[in-house]
Order: sequence, then C-alpha cells, then structure tokens
Amino acid sequence: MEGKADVYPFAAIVGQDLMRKGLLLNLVNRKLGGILIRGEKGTAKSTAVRALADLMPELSVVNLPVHATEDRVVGTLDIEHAIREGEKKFEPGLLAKAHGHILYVDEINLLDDAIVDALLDAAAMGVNTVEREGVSYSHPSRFILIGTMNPEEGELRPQLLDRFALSVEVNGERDVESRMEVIRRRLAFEADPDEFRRRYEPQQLELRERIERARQLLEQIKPSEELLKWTAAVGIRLKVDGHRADIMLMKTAMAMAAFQGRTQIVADDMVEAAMMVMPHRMRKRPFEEGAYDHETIRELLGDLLSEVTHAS
Amino acid sequence: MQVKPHLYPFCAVVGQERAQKALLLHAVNPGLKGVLLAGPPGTAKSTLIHGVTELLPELNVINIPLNVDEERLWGDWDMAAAVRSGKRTFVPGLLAAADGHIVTVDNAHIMPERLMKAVLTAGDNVAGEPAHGHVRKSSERRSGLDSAAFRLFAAMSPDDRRPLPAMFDRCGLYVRLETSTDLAERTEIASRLLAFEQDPESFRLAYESETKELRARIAAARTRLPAVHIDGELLRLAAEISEEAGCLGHRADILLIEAVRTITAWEGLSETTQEHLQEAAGFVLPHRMRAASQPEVSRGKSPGDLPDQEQTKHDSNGDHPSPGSHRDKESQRESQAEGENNATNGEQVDRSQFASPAQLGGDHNGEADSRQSLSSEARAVVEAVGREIAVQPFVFTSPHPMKQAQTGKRNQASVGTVNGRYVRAAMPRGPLRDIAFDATLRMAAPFQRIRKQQSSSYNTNLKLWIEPSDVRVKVRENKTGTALLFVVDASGSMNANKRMKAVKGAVLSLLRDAYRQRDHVGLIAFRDQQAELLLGLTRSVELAERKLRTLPAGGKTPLGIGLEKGLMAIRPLLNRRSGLIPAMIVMTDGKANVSAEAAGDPWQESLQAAQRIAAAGIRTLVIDTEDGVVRSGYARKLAEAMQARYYRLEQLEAGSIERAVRTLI
Repeated sequence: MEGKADVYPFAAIVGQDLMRKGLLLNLVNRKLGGILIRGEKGTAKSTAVRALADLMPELSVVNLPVHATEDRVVGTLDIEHAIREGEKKFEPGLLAKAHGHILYVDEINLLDDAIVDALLDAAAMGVNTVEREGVSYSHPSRFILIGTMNPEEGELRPQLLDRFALSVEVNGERDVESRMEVIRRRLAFEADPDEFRRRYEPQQLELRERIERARQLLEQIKPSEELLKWTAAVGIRLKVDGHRADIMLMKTAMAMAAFQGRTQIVADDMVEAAMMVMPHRMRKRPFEEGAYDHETIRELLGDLLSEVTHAS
Repeated sequence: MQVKPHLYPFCAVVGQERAQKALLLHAVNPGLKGVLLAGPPGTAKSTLIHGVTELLPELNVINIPLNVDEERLWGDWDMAAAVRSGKRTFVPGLLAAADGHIVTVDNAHIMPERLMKAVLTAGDNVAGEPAHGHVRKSSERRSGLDSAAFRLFAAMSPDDRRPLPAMFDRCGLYVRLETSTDLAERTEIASRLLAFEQDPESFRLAYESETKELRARIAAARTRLPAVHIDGELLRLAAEISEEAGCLGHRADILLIEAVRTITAWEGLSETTQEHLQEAAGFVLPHRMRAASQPEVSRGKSPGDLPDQEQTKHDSNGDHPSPGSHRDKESQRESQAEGENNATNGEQVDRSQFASPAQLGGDHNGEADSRQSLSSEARAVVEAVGREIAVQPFVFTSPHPMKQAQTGKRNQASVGTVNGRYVRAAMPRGPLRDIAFDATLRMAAPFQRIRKQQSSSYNTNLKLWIEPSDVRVKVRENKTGTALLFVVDASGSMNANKRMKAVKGAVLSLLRDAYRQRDHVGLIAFRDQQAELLLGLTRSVELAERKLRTLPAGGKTPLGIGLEKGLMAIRPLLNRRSGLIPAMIVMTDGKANVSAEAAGDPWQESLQAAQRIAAAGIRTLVIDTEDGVVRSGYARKLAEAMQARYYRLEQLEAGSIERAVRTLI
C-alpha cells in the first residue's frame, strides 16, 4: 500500500478499547473472521482500520466502496488486453486483491445486494469463482473482512452478519478529557504527520512485537475439552443459529489469551470473547426490543460464567 | 485457472446425519435428481455439498457462482478463435460441461431467478429460454443441452429470501438442517473444525480411511441397486402417499420409489420395508407437499364480515383460488365414494384431524379392506412427514408453483442502471452507458480479418477493430424491487376502539415481510391539519418500526392531504430507472373532514387525490379500518376512485395481509 506515511498511528487512537482490541485480535489470528464495527459517524472507524493495516507492513487495506459494481468486485474481462491482443484474460477484482489482506467495507449495510451476494459466495468456500463475460476463473479469496455501519441506516442481512467473527459498538467519547485528547492528537497529526508518527513509533513497534509474539503463542494454545464444552453451552443457551458462533468464540478466546501473552485461556478471555462474538448473532429478528448488551448477556449466561472459571 | 480449496471431509461432519444420508443416496443413484439443503447459516450446508463431491472422484464438479451470466451458462462464441480465424466457434457453457457431472450452488436462494431457472430446467432435459436477441444461437444452445443431465447439490438459507418454487421441484431430496442443541455434539463440532483449521492436511488424512469406506459402500450400493425391486403393493402405496400429500404430477411417486430402492440398496438389503418408505418420504415429500389446505376460506370471517361476503370472495379468494381447497374437495369426493366417512366433514379437510394409522387400521380388517388400510398407511406416512414439517414453518411460507409468475415480477431487468447483476447483453437503445465489453468484443471478433484489411491505411497496433454496430450494453437485474409506502390515518377516529393498535399490528406484520424481502419502506401519517412524512423510503425496517410505535394519534382527518403527500413521495420512483416498484398502502376509515383549501370539500378533495394516484399508475391497496355495525363505506369508495385493491382490516389477519400486498406488486 503506497502512502502509508499519512496514516494515523494505531497506537495514538484514544479510547474505543473494544474496537481496538477486536481489530488487533484479527491480526493475532488472521483467520479469525473479521469484525463489524457499528456506530455513529465520526467515531474514527475508518482511521482505525487504516491504522491497523499500517501496523503490519505486509498488510494492505482493500477498500470496497459502497457503490462498487459487481464486475469490479468479482473481477471481469480485461478489456485492454482483449483489444490489444485479441484474446481473453481475466482482470482480477477486489476479491482477488483482498486475498490475504483486509477487505474494508464502509457502510456495509448500504451495499448493493449483488455485492453482498458476491461476498457471501466467496466466503462460502474461501474461493471466488467467476463465470461471466466469457471468462471462467477462480482464485482463493480469504481476507480479513472489516465492515462499518451505522445501524440507524438499516440492518445487515443475517447471512452476512453471521460471517463476522466479532462485532463491536462504538460511540463518540463521552468524557470531556478524552474528547479533548482526541482533538489535540488529531490536530498535532494534521499539523505534522511525520513528526507525529515519529513520536508514536516506539509504541507502534511495541504493539507490533506484541502481535508477533501473540501469533507465536497462539500456535501453542490448545483448547481444553471443558472450554469447548463451555462454548457449546453458551451457543445453546443464547440460541444462536448455526455452529459458527461456537467456533468463533473459541478462536477469539484463544487469540485473546495469546494477545495477553499467555498460552492458557482464562475465564476472562472466554467472557470477553463472548461479548464480542455473540451479540450480533442473537438479534436475528429485526423487531426484538433493544440490543443485547453486555448486561443482558451476562444475565443470560449467569451460572455459565462462574462455571468457566472452573473449566479454565 | 481453477483452485481447489482443502475440503473438510464429508464423513467428519457431525450431527447432520440426514443431510449426509440424502447426499449419499444421491451419490448411489443419480436418478434422485438433486439434493437441496436448507438451513440457517453455519450448519455445514456448503461443507456437505462440496464434501460429497469427493466421494464421487470420477465426476467433475462445476460450481456455479452467483456472478454467472447467461453466456457462460449456455455457452457462447469463442472470441479469440473468431479473431484468429474469422469464424464463429461455439464454446459450450457450464451447463453443457456439467452434463453427467455435478453442479453445486452454494447460495441457491439468492441466485438471480432467471439464471437459477436456467440451471434448473437444463438439468431437466428441457432447453431453457434462449437469451434475448440471440435467436440464431439458441438453436445451437438447445442442441448442446438436450442431454444436460447433472447431479445438482444446492444449499440455501431460508430466512434470507424466498426460494424459487422450481428449486423445490427440481431437487429430488430435501433436508432441512437445524442447529444442534446437543452439548456433546456441539463440542465435537467445534473441536473438529478447530483441528481442521489448524492443520487441514493431517485432519483430512485422519479421515482418509473412513472416506474410502464410504466410497466403497457407495460402489456396493450401486451394484446392488438394479436388483432392488418394488412390489406392486409398495408401488401403490407410493402413489397413494404422493396423492395424499397433494403432490403435483408423477414426479413425487417416481422419486419416492427411487429413494426407497436406493435406501434399501444402501442398507445392503434387497427387500424394502415400511421404514425405508417412511425415510424416503421424509426426503422426497417435505418440499413437494401442498401447503396443506391453509384455511384461507375461514380466515378473516369475523361476524361483522357477513354483509360483505361477496367482496371477500372477490378480493381474497376470487383472484387466487386456494389450490388446497379445490384438491381437498376432490379427495373428499373420492374418499366418500370409497365409503369412508371419517374425518371429512364440512368444507375443509384438516389433515391434522385424520385418525392415527393404528385406529384406522383397526377399523378395517380383512382382505376387502386392504386398499383402505393402505390408504391409512399412506396417510400415516404423510402425517409423519407432516409433523416433521410442522417445526419447519418455512416450507409452508414458500409460494406455491402457481405463484411463480408473481415472484418473477420482483426482479427487474433493466438497461442503463449500473446497479445490480449483469445478466446478459443487449443492443443499445438511447445513450451509451454501461457497455458490455465481452459481448461487444464477441460481436466484433468475426469481422477482424476483413476490417484489418480494409483499415490498412490506419497506422495502429491495435489487434481489434470495433465498430459502433458491435457495441452491446449490459442488462442488469435488480433484486431490490419493492418500495412500500404506508399512508396511515392517525386521526382521532382511528384512536377509538383501539383501531390504531390493530393498524399498527397490521403494518408491523407487513414490515416483517418487508424485512425478509429487503424492500424499501416508508411511512406517512396524516392527522389534524397535516400529513407528515415520518420516514422516507429506506431499507431500515427497524427505523420504520420505531416510528410506528411512537406514532401519535388524534385530531381530524386530512385524508386528501395524506394521499397527496403519498403521491409526491412515490412519484420520483415511477421512473423505471429507480429500480424500485412502488406501492402505496393506505390505511384509513375514509372519513375525511379536513381539506387543503380553506373552503374545500374534504371528501371531494380526497377523491380527486385518489384519482390522481390512479392516473399515475401507482399500485395501491386500501385497508379499511372502519368497524361497527353501521358502516359508511367511504374507504370502499376511495378504493374505487384509486383503482385500489380493497380489504377490510378484519380480513387481513396474519398471513393474508402479506399475501394481499404481495399480489399487489
């Protein structure tokens, strides 16, 4: 990705702990399954996503604009090549570009149906198959899917919702001190991006190393039978559709432990993971009152929360 | 280039035994036509349909993605060859290539209807509808396809969109997958998936021998299959079962027989048993059964309805005769002729009222009654399947094949919009936008030699000469078809007798349906002196619902103003390019008493607004909220002026309200 120089450093983001953690977990385990960030405008969602890729030099952010056409997303016939050479060639689309990287969709809930379908189709097997415009082509397409949305503007289709491992809510900072800090840093960054980035370089490096360490630790983490049982129990209790939730819950807890520098999963990892993995899977009907906040989930899980302490 | 991902082994899937069985049966006997797996996300549907292909290594697997276009499906001219030789060479499409092999479709419910139909009919040895403007090609396409019989493995999520009825018909076997609620099972599922993700190769290796065993068992069952015979009695039972289930045509009977034979062969037996038949029925019937005589006739007949009965008939039954009720009468006649008089009284047959098989069997003993007891057996089988379906409500919500035409209207194919799926190319009309380069190049290809010679004076190193006559534009299909605008009377008269509550309930049920269909919804409320656009057309039904909940009521009835506002909100959508079919749903008792003009007649004003709406060609539906014994009938008159469909609120309980709106569009 060219021009990373003007990216706001991840380490300089103020507040939004849950979002930051969710994003970082996706770096610890790149196969975790992405994150959906829900919240109002102007909450640094895009900044954070760009900053995330900036942390890892080998990662780039592929932006999927809301008005992208299907051809652009799945790939199409290479017109230039066809006209020059008189033969067909596949011109890869965003799904190809995003393979191994971050696919970022701002306002994912406003995406055209055809594009959502393309995402779902690619997600089904991790392969994008193109059979159109005289081209027959398929390529691997596994990416870290990061979506942002303002729930006020419409919900996401349940099938797509289910594809996100994590979902977090972000709000503007309520605390005056933090708000001031947000503005202060933003102004400093805009005044002199290079200097600002230099100032945060040590923290950035530290974060990078922490992620690298966590990636190594993750390989040594094996979930115990008890913890697997616990995740299954949570899935059953919260009545989520399908089994993806259980697996994502386990994987998130594993990444969480690794990120904390442990090879042992502790109860807190499980609970914290549940708060990111479960809520968006529980609201499958559009008319149920209110969101499932942490308190509700805590209440629903009740005894299971104390059980996990024994399990881990 | 084609890539093949590491597939999760078929036999390592936990807790979806019925789906596995259906796929295995199909692996043994391609005569079973296809397998459709339906279930919520994350229930291993895709894993299974791709996994089973590994058990059939001798066959090619053609995965049809959602982005497929008609050219690739049916085959087309080879552009490169045309450029080289100046001749048109036909390249067979995916469907032709699939002949005798496997076709997988991961998200069958969201594939563009037109293309899905092409896939479905191709496998049926019926040449599909040729693409527009390619009449010459179509003969060739047809000839290439006459023998395109393939195994179809499809997966779908029923909650997302309504599935295509033809989908149900095409697939011989159907399994609904559910989320497991068994702790041990779920633990095992997660544990295996994690292991697979960490090291797919060794995971696959661990299941290698089991996979081989399955392959061997398939082979054994295949050799045994021709020897499995069905005796006459079972044959009759199968026919009776599909009759009892109300399946159309003979396909169900044949599939039932084939399934029974295959199950028997799979179990390593040569004699079929009743259990085999029951099992077969569980795969074959659920998606073919008539939406068993849903009480369309009885619904909405509150006592107050009686004076209006002919209207009821005209509106809710006349246009769409319930297929179930007709059939039921027929079967009723038959059973009466047989001298059987149980469970069939009155206008309707309620299947759940049938006596249990044990009772029936006990009533009729002896040889003369053998046919009777078979019937009861048939009923028992259908009953058992039916009960299973009872917990799978979606099967009943799927539209009957007869409604196909209706669902078709939800997809608009249009030229010039850049949204939606590119489904085919067409000659440009009007300004050039959204050029279909592939089709353009194909058109230009055969003429390259000639053009090259003719244009030798040009000094250019281009390989292709394109002329305006070659240019084709993309025809795109948009699925997001409908915009429902609710114009709700929130005046004081609505507040009386809790009418508002009923209205809100009705709108809510429509919003739910709109959510599933991902329609746009909007809300206008009129009360006191004005009409207010509470919600512009949006996809967020949640927002609509919130606005509705807090909708205040009271004051006078500015009906005309409300209608006028509705017309203004919809007018921009009447342009076809909007990609939305607008429809207006007016809920009022019609008792207008506020006019826009100072000295105007509120009622005349409303009628004029209604006529303008009719003149604009907007599809409308009036839901009369008036109640009580003495009715003024204003809303009815309003509906007439608007050329709207007319319903009374009482008529529109539960499902019928959705139907009413759907038939509107």
